[in-house]
Amino acid sequence: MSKYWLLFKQQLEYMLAYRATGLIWFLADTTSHLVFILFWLAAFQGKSAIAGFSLREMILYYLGAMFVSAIITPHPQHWLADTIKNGQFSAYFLLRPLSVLGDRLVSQIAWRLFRFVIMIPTLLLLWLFLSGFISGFSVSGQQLLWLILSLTLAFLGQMLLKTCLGLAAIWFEEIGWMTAFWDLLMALLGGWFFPITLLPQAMQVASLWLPFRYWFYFPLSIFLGKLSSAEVFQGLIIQLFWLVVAVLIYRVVLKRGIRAYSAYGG
Amino acid sequence: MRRYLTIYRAFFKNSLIREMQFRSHFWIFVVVNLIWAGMAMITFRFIFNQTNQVGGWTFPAILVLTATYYLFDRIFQLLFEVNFSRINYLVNSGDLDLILTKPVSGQFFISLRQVSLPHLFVILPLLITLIWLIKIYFWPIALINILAYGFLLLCGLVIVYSFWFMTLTAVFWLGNIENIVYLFGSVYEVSRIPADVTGLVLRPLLTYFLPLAFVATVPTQVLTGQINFGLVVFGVLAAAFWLWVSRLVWQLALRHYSSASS
Repeated sequence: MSKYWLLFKQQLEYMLAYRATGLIWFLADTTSHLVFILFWLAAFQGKSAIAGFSLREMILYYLGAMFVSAIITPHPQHWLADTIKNGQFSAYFLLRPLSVLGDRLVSQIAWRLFRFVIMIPTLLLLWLFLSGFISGFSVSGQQLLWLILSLTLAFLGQMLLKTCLGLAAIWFEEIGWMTAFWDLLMALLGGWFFPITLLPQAMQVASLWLPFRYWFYFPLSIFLGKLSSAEVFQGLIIQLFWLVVAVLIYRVVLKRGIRAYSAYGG
Repeated sequence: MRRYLTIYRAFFKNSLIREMQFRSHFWIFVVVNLIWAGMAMITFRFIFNQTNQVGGWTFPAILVLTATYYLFDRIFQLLFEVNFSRINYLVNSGDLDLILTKPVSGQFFISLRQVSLPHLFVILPLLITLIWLIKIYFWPIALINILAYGFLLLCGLVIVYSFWFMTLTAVFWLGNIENIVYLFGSVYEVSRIPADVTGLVLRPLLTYFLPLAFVATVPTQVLTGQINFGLVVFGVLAAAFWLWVSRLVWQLALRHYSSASS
């Protein structure tokens, strides 16, 4: 365990040395949702609800979306794919007593922590600016508990499968198209672009069969208090199911990947 | 001016030769880009299923705006993507020295050295989409509107170039920031929605002070029939002014430059 603690501290120090870089990634991750808020403010003019969302809920949805995409959504795949491509993978993982997942998890948690520190004042400021639209909103203790549980499951599930995406670089020279495809599904069927209720019926049904909405739209629905206890419970079970699937996929990919891996270069 | 055109032609030819050497992921890149543009349009379809207009913008007008935004974005990336992403490296590695010794403007050289031609294969379908949209929703339009549209896009390119370039010069003061190129990229995203629906504070800001309205909003208004000559003139002045400011900032930055090597 202490080796991971050391890695964690090392990552934190690295981040403090490159604060500006971290800040820019944070901005790049949050501005799209701000632009959406601006657009919805104009779209709602006089309307009480669009696709089952009031203006207040819509704004809160996007503030929540900023949080989920900047804090909860992990990106372990880029570094991993680079490390595989330049041949460092064997030196880093196969010769050291580090698990691929453990190492990436520590690094991702360190980054999320850094972002969390920037996120809180940013959200407070936005809350202040938008207080006219969202006043009177509150989250109960029980909701908060469910929310934390569901966000944790969302983080872990994505962490595992995106690590697989990174490991796919062992077989494919380029994984950019896979991450792009993933992002597209997340944007449309996960709720990253807009609440899923805005989609046509057929696509809403399709989204139920994929994990994406459970990693984005579902926690946000808990946050907004749009679900009954039974619905929350059902959603959490499905999240758990996808986590188990992710674990199984990860184990197969890692095992086969290490066998198929051949280091290029130094 | 002639000399710079000749140099730029050489840059272009050189980029073409380079591009032909690395074409492996080329088609994937084109397809992904087009899907994103398509998704943005579909998103607006879903939103407009629920409402007829947003701040005076109808669905067809929003589609033209979206096509214009992506067209603008791809042209911008075609011209500057590779160059902008190299500036941090050039400054921090000291390789900028070599460029500064050349008998051309350093700003010209580092901004335009390489053209990323694959973007052409995204630009073409976007252009066809745009023409098709105009044909079914807004035809006929006067030649003057089409010309003004092209001209405004050009002004927009110069404006965005100037601001984006100025943010990049931060590395002269702050040292290595590997993702500095995304800083203005995230601000500029606001131009994907109509600038005139952004509210009482942002609207004048985006029209006059940080004139991102010239990326898609004003060109779209002109193309769909509302020509505002005052705004066109302002666009030209703003482009010239900010280009001039970017040059001043560049010169100031150079004074801070201490070659990193040796």
